[in-house]
Amino acid sequence: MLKYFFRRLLSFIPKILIITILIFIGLEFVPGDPISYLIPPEQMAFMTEETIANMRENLGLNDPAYIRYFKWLGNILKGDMGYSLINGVKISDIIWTRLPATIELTALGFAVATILGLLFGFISALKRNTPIDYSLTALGMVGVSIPEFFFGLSAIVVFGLTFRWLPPGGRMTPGQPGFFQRIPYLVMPVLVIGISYTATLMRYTRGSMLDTMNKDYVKAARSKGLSETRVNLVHSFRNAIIPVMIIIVNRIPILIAGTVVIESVFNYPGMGKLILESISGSDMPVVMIATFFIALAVLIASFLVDLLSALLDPRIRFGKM
Amino acid sequence: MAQTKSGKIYKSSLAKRNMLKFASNKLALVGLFIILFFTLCAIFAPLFTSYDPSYVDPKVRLLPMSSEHLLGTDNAGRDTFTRLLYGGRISIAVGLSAALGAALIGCTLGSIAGYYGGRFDSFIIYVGEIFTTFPQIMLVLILVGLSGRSLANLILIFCFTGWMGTARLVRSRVLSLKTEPFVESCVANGISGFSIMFKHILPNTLGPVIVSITMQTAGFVLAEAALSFLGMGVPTAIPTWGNVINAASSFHIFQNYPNLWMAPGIVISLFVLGVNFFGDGLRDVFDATE
Repeated sequence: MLKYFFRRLLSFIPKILIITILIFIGLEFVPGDPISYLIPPEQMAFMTEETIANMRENLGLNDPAYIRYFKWLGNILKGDMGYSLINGVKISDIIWTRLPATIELTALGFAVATILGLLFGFISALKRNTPIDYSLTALGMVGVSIPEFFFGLSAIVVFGLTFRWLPPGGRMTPGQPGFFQRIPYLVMPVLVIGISYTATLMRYTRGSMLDTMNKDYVKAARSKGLSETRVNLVHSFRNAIIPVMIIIVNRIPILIAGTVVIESVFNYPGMGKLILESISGSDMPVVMIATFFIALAVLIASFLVDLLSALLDPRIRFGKM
Repeated sequence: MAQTKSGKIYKSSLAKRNMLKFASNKLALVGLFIILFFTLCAIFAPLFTSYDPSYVDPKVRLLPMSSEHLLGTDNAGRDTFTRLLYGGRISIAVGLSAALGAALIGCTLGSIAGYYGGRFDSFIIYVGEIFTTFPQIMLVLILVGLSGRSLANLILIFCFTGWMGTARLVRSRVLSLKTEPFVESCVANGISGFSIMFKHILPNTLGPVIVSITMQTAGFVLAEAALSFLGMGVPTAIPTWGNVINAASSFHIFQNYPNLWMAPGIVISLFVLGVNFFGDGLRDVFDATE
């Protein structure tokens, strides 16, 4: 297990490096002078041409690209990511206020989707070819076909504007930053993200369950006289979710992509909305760094789910794979 | 002669069996019907409406549904029904052409990677993995931000960011097919690698590829709608399903003029549902394992 853990961990390092290189190249392509996002704007306002030229030399902006890349990478590791072109705020500060909001939203949506998807897929497989199965499958099809933003808009109009049960957008009431006070704001976006993602998971769980239920070891368990619940839960379900886990990992980027859209619909101040605002304001340094963090989050999340599936699969746990 | 004849009979009976299998799947037929319905409505849009989808007329702003304006008019006085009909043209065209383009890239890279293996193979796999680390919509947003909003840009960006699934699919099929006797006989006959890949192996992978093109069309129609809704997709002046929703842009309109955003939302959902049903039916036909 430990060996597996370290092997997976090691395989992420080159990926992270490549992503930083891509982000750096992206930053290089941004029109405008890099000095404009490296120095706080209030400081820059009092500088002469000469000092700016000196600054440029000191910051190493005249160095060849690969040296600049390593310097840039060093600065990122130190937490110095430059300044927003629009309002001159430190990019790191922007990220630290926005990232937790998105992680909260995505993680909750992910949890909702995983629980509902596995549960409905399980039920659907157990009750296969019955009205329950058909209606769940049909609902799933409808679920993947409705655009998330349309689903979100409908929810806002019904629950936020017409019945006024829930706030139509935002993240918190001013002055009430506690988690429990934020729950009403989270309900709709989390459910919209979760439910859109549930359908796919349900489908894969159902297929995988049906596969497993026909395996010989399940028949053996049943003929041993084990209870139906035990056969279904311990023998079938536990093995059926391993391939589903892989689908879950592969779909994490799609889940986060959904968050970008949903955050804008619900006016939720997270990374997705940040990226969208920054793109419309041509604040490319912020866009690039934010994208870097999203990619990093995807890598970390897939690493965690990988570990989880290893815990479920003894072949991986005991180093035979 | 007799052999080719029997071969032909076998082929046509397989095709017939597949057609029958597809036709017995009611949902797939419903899907096909929905797709045809929306596509024909979009193509023959001028037959169903006499309005110009882009004609701004401030005198008829935000009219309710009536026999004159079936779905009312939007904030700028444009007829929503007309815009939906014409919007279908662009939305369906964007979805389909992007899916075809992405499949073209995916098939090419997947075939080469699977057939030659080695460094190029590991390189393609790795590039694909890096690509999938960035959520597609984010790549699209950044590229749209860098290259500007235009119809052609959007389609190219969709192709560029959507080829990985097909590439992986084709690669794994090619990997298993290249050990088959018919490929060995091609090699023995001195047929070039290029020709073996694209003329002999690739046609055998087309079933799943067609399924994935169908599913990607659905995905790209949704993506176009979402991006245009966010104001980052097709330029606002061109009517698309996403841009029709984009025209309804305040809580006031959402609450009081549901016709403006419900109608396009339902149209998109129905169309995508149809494509998904159709794709599912195709998958049943092509995929012997299910």
